[in-house]
Amino acid sequence: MHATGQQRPHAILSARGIVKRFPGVVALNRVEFDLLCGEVHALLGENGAGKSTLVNILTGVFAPDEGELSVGGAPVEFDSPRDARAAGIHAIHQELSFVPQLDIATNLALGNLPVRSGVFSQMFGIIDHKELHSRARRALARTGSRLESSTAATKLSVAQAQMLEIARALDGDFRVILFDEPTSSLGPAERNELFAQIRRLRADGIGIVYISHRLEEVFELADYVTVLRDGSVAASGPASMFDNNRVVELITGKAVTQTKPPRRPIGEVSLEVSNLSSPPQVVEVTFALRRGEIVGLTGLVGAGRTELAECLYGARSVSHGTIRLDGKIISPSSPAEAMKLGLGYATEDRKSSGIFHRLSIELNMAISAFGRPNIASRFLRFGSLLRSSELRRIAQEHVRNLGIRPPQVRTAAGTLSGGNQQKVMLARLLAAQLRVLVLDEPTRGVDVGAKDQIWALLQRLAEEGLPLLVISSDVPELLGRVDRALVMRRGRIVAEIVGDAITEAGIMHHAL
Amino acid sequence: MRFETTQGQVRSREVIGRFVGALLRFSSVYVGLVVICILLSFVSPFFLTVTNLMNIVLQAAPVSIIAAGLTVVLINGEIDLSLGSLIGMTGSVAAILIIKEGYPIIIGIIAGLLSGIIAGLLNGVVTVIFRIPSFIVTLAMLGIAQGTGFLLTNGRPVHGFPPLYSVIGQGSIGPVPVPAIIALGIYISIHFILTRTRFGIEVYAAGGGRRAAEMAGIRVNRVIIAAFALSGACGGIAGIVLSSRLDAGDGNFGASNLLDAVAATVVGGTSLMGGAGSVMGTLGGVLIISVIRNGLVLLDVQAFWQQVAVGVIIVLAVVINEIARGELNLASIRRSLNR
Repeated sequence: MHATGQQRPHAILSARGIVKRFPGVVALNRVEFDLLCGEVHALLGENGAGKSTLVNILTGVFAPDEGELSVGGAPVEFDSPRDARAAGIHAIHQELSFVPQLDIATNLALGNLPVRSGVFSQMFGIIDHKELHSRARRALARTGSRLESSTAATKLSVAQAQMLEIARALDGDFRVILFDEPTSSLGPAERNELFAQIRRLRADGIGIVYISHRLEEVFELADYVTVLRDGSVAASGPASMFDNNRVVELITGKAVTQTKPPRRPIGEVSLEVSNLSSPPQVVEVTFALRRGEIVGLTGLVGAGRTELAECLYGARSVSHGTIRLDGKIISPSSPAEAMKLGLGYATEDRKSSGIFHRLSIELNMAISAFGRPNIASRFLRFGSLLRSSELRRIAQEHVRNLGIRPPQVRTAAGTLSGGNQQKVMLARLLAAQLRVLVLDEPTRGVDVGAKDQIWALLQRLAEEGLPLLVISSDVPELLGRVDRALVMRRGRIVAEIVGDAITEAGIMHHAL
Repeated sequence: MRFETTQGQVRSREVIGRFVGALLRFSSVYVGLVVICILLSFVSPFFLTVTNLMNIVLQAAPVSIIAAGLTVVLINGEIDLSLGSLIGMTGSVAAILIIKEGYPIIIGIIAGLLSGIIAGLLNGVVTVIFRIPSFIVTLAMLGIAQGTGFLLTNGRPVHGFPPLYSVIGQGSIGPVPVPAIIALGIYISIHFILTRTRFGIEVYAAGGGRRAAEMAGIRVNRVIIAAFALSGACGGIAGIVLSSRLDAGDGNFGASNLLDAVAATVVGGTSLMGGAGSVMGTLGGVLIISVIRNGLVLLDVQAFWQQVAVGVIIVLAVVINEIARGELNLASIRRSLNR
């Protein structure tokens, strides 16, 4: 089964010894990958295992640091996604790339619009609408779609839009199509439609790379499976040689050494959530969080974990359900209000909704405290004027305690590494002296050393009696570190696992 | 040898030191300013006279005041196109109340300022409540304010302010014109507000990333409304100053100043994307534009060329900046044209 390093003959697309390094991490380490014509090849792995990086290399977004690609047996080098497309490789991403204001036919032909013949038409680029629409109709017919070519793209459902993407891929005469989590926003009927389409493509001899977290889909569709773990190929072979449990084992790695869950004194209930709903992302969620307790909230990407956190934090409207903070019912209508009440949240998307890249470290740390009654006066005179020296002193304290590098508090936060930015975000919550913290993927994109430091800090905070809800897709990191784990699937909390009973296989079993 | 210094002296030194420090951070603007001044002093012997330099800062005052307000709004990630027309409207309000209705000067001034602040508040409120881009909202306000100015003055300049009012625009302390002192006061105040207050930090934060600011617990919409109000207040002050200097209220005043104000902020390094910039940079930008305009007058160049020159300066400033940061070179130009 372990075909690692062994080349499969007649591959339409193959990657040999691919190495890709990013600052601080090796994203891919000598990865081998072969795709045959008329094959659905599933690419599996945890978040951060290197799937996206591999896709980006196969489609020309990144250049590999080492190793080589070949298409149809001939070595190739892609300088841009355009080169990869020219070689017949097309990726269909989760975010769809069409212009909603234009009709389907025009979207299909963008970048390759048909121009009427004749000197005048050629010179001014007069579009041949007849050809444009007949081309579109042909492409739509090939996907078995009943859509009109003149329909505006805004009117399409997500599934139909995906069909459009597939039609575009067919229109471009591609030999390889990569699907990146294509079903994450589809309902069951739409999903079946997509699968039928993929089977049709396979029958036409097109090579298909299929990325998904949903194992049942993989076994339904895939002919061949490659599992990535920590940037290397963990296993690769025909789908018939794997079963569900084996794949989960391969994805997560060997049984992780069980460390004793920390014993901390656990206090009374601090945050109590009942029947909280914001359909369809959050459905009837009920749980409680006690003082000094670290609770892990896990599940697949798209299971509704971030949305749940946003409901608590006033960043998403709640249809019904109640939130109690220290016994009192709260219903924050904005993050500012939640923060005022004592509930803090650090977003998973540090880059675009967390750090203020151009502000200094010290201001990044202090900015949430400005809105906290009683605490703001430590940083502000008359509620408005900055106490610069005090602000600096407190920031330096956090920099020391959290080991932030470089330690200059006036540096722009955007210049820090991911791990240090994460620590700055934690410091922001600490400086605001909140009563409950919800941390969304606090160790995402953080190197191993910083990861341990962040967890050590969380343990310390819990010992001081702070209740913590930690959202993480990285199941192994939760083991031995959290008191309880909640597993979400499709908007609901489907399992609650306590203490020693928390295992990776157990969590994955509920999450998938 | 040691000098005894009082606490007050230390504090004022600190303030001045910080001000100079902020100026130095925008040294490229000020180096450019000095170079242009040196060139002009060779071209025209009249350029480096006190009379001429004071004339430059007098001319620059209204533009510099609205440019300060514009800088705040731009850092906040919005834009205020109504600032030029607010000069005409607020000056007209003061002129009508003081000259036509005979109210005391102070009432006219307060009403003028208030009308500017109200226009700014409206800009902000409409922008955040109806989620209309501020480009559209303030473009509408440009029309509304200018029309209001014309309506108030019946389309003709209203002349004849009392002498005391004229001091604001025409007086001077020593050789320094009062409008220049007012402008400098505004720059120091706004620099202080932006760098030393909660509001200022939140302006930068909201402009740098709206979503991040919301998630950090900042009431972003209130910050935006306040920034527009501050901008409107600047429009009002500029309106009072200009009406006093020209001894008239007229809906047409200030209409041409918006271009210069935008140019000054761009030259001064404020990002039109929000989140970065400084009034100290803008001050340098205003001075560069004013000096070049003055130089063209001294060189006897036809007045319409000044307009062309300001347009060229806007683009040139950005291009020079990009070259200096190494973001613009032959390879990048080729890539750009190939996209």
